[in-house]
Amino acid sequence: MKFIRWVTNIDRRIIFLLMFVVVLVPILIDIPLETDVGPTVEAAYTAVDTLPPGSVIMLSVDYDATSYPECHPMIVAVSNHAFSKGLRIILVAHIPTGLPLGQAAVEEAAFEYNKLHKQEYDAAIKQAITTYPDTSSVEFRQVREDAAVKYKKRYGVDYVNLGFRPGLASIMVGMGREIRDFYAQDYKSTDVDSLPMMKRVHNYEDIALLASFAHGKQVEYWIQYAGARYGQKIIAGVTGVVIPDLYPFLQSKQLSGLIGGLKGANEYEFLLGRKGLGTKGMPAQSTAHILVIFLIVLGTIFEFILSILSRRKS
Amino acid sequence: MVFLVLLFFFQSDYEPLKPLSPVTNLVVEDVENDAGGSIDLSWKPSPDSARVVTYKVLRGLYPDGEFTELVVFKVPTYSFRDATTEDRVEYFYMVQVIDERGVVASSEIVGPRISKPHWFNTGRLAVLVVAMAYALMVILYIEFAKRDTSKMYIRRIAGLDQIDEAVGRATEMGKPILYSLGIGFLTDVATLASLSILKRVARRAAEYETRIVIPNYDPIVMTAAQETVRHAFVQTGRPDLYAEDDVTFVTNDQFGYAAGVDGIMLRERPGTVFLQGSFFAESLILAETAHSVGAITIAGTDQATQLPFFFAACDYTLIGEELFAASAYLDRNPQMLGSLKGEDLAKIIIVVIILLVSIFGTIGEILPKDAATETNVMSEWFVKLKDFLGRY
Amino acid sequence: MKRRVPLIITFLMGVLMVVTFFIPREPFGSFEQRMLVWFSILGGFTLLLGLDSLVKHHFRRIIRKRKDSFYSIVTLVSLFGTLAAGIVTWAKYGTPLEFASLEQIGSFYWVYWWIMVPLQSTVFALLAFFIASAAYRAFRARTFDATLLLVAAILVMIGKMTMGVVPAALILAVFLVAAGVYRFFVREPVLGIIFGSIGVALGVLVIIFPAAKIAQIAPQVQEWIMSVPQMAARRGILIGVTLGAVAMSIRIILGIERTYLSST
Repeated sequence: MKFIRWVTNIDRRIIFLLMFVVVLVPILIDIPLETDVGPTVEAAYTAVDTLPPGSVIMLSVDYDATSYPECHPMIVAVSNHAFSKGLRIILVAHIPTGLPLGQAAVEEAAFEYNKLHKQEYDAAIKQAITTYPDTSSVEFRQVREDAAVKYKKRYGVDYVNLGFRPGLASIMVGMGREIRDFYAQDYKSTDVDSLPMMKRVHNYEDIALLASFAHGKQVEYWIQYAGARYGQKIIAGVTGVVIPDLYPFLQSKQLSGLIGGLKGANEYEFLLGRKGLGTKGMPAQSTAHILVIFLIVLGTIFEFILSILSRRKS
Repeated sequence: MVFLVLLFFFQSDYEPLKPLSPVTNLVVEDVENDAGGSIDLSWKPSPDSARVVTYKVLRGLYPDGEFTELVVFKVPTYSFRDATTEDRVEYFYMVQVIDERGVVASSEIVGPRISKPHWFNTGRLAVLVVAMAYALMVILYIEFAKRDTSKMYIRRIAGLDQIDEAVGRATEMGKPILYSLGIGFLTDVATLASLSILKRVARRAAEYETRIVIPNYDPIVMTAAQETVRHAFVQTGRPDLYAEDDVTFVTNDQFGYAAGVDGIMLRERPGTVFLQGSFFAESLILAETAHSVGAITIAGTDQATQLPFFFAACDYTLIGEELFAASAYLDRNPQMLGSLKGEDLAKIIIVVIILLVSIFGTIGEILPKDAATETNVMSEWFVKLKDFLGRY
Repeated sequence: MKRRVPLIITFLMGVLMVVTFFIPREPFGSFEQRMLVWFSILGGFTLLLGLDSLVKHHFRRIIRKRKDSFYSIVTLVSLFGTLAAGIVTWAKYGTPLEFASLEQIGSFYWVYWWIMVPLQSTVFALLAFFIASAAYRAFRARTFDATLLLVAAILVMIGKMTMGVVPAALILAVFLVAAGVYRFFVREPVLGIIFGSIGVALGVLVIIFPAAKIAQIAPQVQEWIMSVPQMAARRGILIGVTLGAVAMSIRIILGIERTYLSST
């Protein structure tokens, strides 16, 4: 009886501790999780995967820190995917406080790529030095440039950050004519024309795919303004709450793919073969659910016992 | 042989350009119910639409004059709104389609058309009718209430009945009261309703000489709360007890506010916590902390998604309209009670409409249907009713 | 007089807002939009009011050496520190928003990235803990209604899981059986039999069917609960809230509801 009373009025800090452990452990240890990839995520993956190398993909950061856990793994995964496929990235933002999150994702992906290919790059440079000892010669520079193109992701060459501009719809429409009308300079006020990769990028015709990572209505705006008007191919990565709003656009093929919620991020990472925050977060979500279910049921059953016992007494 | 090769080249390179049919049925109209400045265009696809790669909309001031390009579409498009017109200027429109090889086909020229601003938005007629009817109901009942107050019965709302007791409890325990108006602005009805509850709480707090702490999310709401509390203290004859330091601004950041209020709860350990107004994801964070410091919690919000959290964690919860009814309930002002009555009548009407539509719809589905048209008497009625209501 | 003027202004503005809603023609059509712009301009200035209140409050606390005045120091240091960080970054890079990479970051965004983002996420994440404790404390299936609510809640949670669906469903089965037994004790044998047999049936089904099949069905059940009973209840509340809000607005416009004016 005493024990049961203690359990029913348990110190909530014990519950907090349990929750902490149940969330932390699956994140720390890798739980092999069977991932069924849904058709919408697969479509998004294919849309990126089938682009020819050198194509430009525009990532739009339409979320901020409050949706970080859901949206960030997606943009990280897509950036990594894009770099591994030799695509070039243009980053824009429609939420000012979201911009640094997108920038960090792309920078992180570039950093990861460069780290992964550092040996190859170094080897190529070494080879070049032995072939052309004069490091100031045109030939050497050419070889070095070739190696960089292959093994290094550089700002201005492989990715640019155009920053935040206010005026959601007018920018989306206006970029169909000329990106420079709105983004004459990048986020650091460098002239867009002085960035090598932007030389041939003027409007949606030069952008192979647009990916919007959003926690609100922005994807619908993109579909309305860039998709319907200019035939821009669009994929989206959104928080769980937004998913139902976008299903009609998938059916009408106005959206070429959809990564929805943490689960969607997990599936994309699974396809990419890269474990990121999405994969790590998934088991924790499930274990936390089990704990809550278990606690509710436990509390209720003890409550039943208490009530039966006290009835007996009276 | 050479001849054959030449012929081959000739054929492949100089294949005659096939003529392209233009789009048909181009309709150009002024946009209804707008402030002017726009004209709507729509058209039917060209018979050769499979070959079309580009659609162009052009506009000119004379049918035989120069036409300028308004917009280019690269996907099949059958309508366009020109939002760049000048009111009362006559325009002529034309749509061109272009195929892969650059063959252009122009539609007939339609015009002249003008755009003009409108005085009444007919699309909102239904809103006007419903709003008038509803306002009439509310006003009528307010008038009734003025004449005969005896018929104004209002059901008990536990959360509001408990206010005095909850303030008394904090007083007995020698602890302050914490009142949060949520993270809404003064433009939110929920915040206004919360202010009227605050008025009552502050009056009681002044009578019982109990401190009332109000952390705020919005500076304008803070000013209103300060005035409300100060006035309540003055009215009860205890202006000396009012401390401006207790009604302060915390932050304009949602979770920053939640953290701040939690901190205040842990340090001040209030005996009673009121959470009244617009709350979002921070609702449970506040309610659970209030419970953990042993406070009685009376919550109320119009946010349906947050109500479950309040139900689970608080002692009393006001559901949406109960919050709005608070001032009428607390003041027992007959006019305000009358408006509640009007609200109930509107609710009954809505329920009747919902019931009617669902009964028609269901019976229509059950009854045998005419094989050819897939309809029967009931489903036709259902469609008619739906159309009728749809207009409103 | 002091009371009448605000009431007249409220009445006029309220009626004007309603009327302009139906007139698309300028200048009426954009009236509401213009008022919103005014409101946000005013809102910007009132932030100074908030700043004034915040700074004064905490200064007083520090000067009077009240209990916990340490937190006031933290608040003020954070407030002015962030402001200083913004100004310094502005002076250095020409924009407070300098952010090239996590290595090369302006101090304003450094504060944002390394302090604001983690703090916001942390407070939001507290929800997980509070949901657990609130659920344990408040979800007790004493009555029939509460039992139904609980079963629905658990079904929705199971539908959102990607692993462990089977054990969770078994826990639910055990719960149903326990609830059935309890109903017997409170002399409601019919309910007891219903709950008990559903629990046993669920348990048997979960064991017989392959786990993959159950994992497939669970989201559908969740979807149904959310889109049918949940939606029905929510729409009911929404209709009530909307009617209540409109009625309150009418009361305010007509000057019957004056509680928002402190001086009445």
